[in-house]
Amino acid sequence: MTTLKRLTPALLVLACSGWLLSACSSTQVIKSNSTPAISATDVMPDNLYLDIAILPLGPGIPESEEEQDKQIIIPDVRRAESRYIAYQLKDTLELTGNWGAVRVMPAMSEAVDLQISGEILESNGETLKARITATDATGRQWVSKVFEDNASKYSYRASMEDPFQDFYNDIANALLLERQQLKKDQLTNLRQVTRLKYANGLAPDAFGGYLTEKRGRTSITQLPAQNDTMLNRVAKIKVREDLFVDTLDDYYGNFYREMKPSYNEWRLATYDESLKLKEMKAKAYKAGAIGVLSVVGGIYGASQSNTWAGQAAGVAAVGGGIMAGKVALDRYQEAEIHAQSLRELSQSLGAEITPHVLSIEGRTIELTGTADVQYQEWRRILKDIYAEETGLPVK
Amino acid sequence: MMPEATSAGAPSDVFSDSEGNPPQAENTEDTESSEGGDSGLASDGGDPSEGASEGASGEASEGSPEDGLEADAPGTSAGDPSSDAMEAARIALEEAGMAIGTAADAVSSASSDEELAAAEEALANARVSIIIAGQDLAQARQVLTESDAQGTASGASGATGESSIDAAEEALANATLAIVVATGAIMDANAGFPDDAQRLPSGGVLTNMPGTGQGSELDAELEASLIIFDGRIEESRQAVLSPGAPSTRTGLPPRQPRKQSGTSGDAQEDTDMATSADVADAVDEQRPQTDTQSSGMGRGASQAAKAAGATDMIPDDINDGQNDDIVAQQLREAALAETDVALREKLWEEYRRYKSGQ
Repeated sequence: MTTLKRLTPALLVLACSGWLLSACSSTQVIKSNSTPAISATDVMPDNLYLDIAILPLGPGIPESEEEQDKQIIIPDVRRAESRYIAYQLKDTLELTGNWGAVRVMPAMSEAVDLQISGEILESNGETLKARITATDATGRQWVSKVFEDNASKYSYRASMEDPFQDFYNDIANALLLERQQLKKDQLTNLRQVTRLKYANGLAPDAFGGYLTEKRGRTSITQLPAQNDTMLNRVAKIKVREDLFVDTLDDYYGNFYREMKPSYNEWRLATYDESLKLKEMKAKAYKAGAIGVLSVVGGIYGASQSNTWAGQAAGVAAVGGGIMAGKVALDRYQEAEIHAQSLRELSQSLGAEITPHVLSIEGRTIELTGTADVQYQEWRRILKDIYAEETGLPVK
Repeated sequence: MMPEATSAGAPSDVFSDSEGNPPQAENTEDTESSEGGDSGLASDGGDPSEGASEGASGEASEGSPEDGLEADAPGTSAGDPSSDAMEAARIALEEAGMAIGTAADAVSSASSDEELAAAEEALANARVSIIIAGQDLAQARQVLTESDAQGTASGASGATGESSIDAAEEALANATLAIVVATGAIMDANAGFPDDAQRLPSGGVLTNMPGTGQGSELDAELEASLIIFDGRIEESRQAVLSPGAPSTRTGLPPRQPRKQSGTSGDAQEDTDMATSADVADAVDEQRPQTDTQSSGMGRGASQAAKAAGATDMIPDDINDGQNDDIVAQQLREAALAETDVALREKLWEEYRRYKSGQ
């Protein structure tokens, strides 16, 4: 019993060290992208392929600069990523062939069947994590969940593929799963709702009576005549809307291609630094914990021992603990170096990307403003035409 | 925002008489006072050739602008730089008038896709001739200004020449608008309407009353605003395309998203993993194909140029035209398609002048 009592501090230190070793050991993820995006094999009529609008993701930038620094977030990089991720998702969805027109748009649109939005939760060279929400024109929510992918060195070796392609493929597959649960008449109804919502946005006097909204869901009450001339006019405007959206999408495409080389380099560099930072932090934590335990255990053991050997062991444990503590400090300092390296890499990318971000923001604002003015004019003309053709008072 | 032509009434009002017939050369008064009727610019997907021909021919027949230049230069004499410049402008305007007349004939008689394509080409050539005429007018104005400054031209002739040039430029602007309207009408005829709009079952309650005069004007106003918006979008697209990109669209084709997606999807058979796989490059490769398939105005001229062995007719100092904008491209294609040696050389000269002025 006495022996056990003497040995307890040492055993305690050993046990805790073992636990810490097992708990804090770092394992490197070794995997490449492994989730294929599924292309549906069933052939649908062209008019049932749904059009999708993807909004640039919310950048998820913390409000306080302190938090930004702590998470090593550079606002301009995040704003650029919000558009990059949206466009990468657009490309993935297009390549599956499961959808109609897939475009990145700066704002919500009445002219599409399905709108995708989201918020970046974490994005660096190692991890991409975002909440994605998809809602259709009737107001039904298809998807609202967090998608996440971790890259590996193998991901970066596949130069033709995005290191986080699994992230995009998961989203594409989730959307396809939802779409496959809809029957053809439901898809037709969805497309009709989209068209009528768009028409109602342009000419509410003419089309206000065709849709109804209840509990956040839009449904059709009646359909206009097949040869409705007002609908034909709206269809002409829709052609221009589509061209406008295509142009905006081209802007985002240009932005995507311009930032891609630098962004890929940044991701690879930050991937290495992130791993090292994690490793250093883990080692520092381990060393620190061992150090504390050793010091505590040594002091306790020395105080409880009434032999020279026991007291010597206690002193040795304290000394070892102090050394471990010093090692921990060194590791934290190394970790800070890697953290600083990450900040510098991100700031460098931010400085390079900022002009592109400002350019895309300016262009989309300008073009959107032009379109807004034009839409106001079209609404006015259609309103006048409706009044002229029907003799009915307009709202 | 609206073009000047429409402020005087819809383009159809300007370019047609009450029976929807294209104006004769001397019926300039009738074209201004017509009701427009149902000869609007394909507002309901009707025959685009009516509105297009009326639009294209109206300005040409509204008293040829070159008449003013010829008649209103009493103070000039042969050998005088300003006289030479005015004469060159007059000839260019005359040629522009002929090209517009040819385009009007082509549009009015078009009844098949091939003839519509030929009409588009004729409209493109007319636009090029208008550009050339515009540049000659600008040149004439400059020479006249310099002559006035040097005191070599009399005050009366200088002022008269200026007013003639002003009138001619306004006529060219209206002619350009008419060509744009006509082109838009042809594109709408080619575009048709989305299938799903036609597949909706009947049963609506909206009763459409026959179009009144004001209704047709509103439709024409809508058409004109659509075409102006097309132009703005086209300008924006020019800003998007990089200098090294393939040829730009010269017209605004109907958007066919499934074909683009389908084309992108051709790559999917190679991978079950939908990789990004240089997606940007793949999309870039597909876009010019789509553009080529869809481009309207320059296509006919390009084909004619190839048939004529175009490469042999390019002067040595002319580059490959990779960075040409729409105007330069049209000048280039017009030069390649031109069989008359003198006119071809003139077109190349205009091309060089335009490129040097950029």
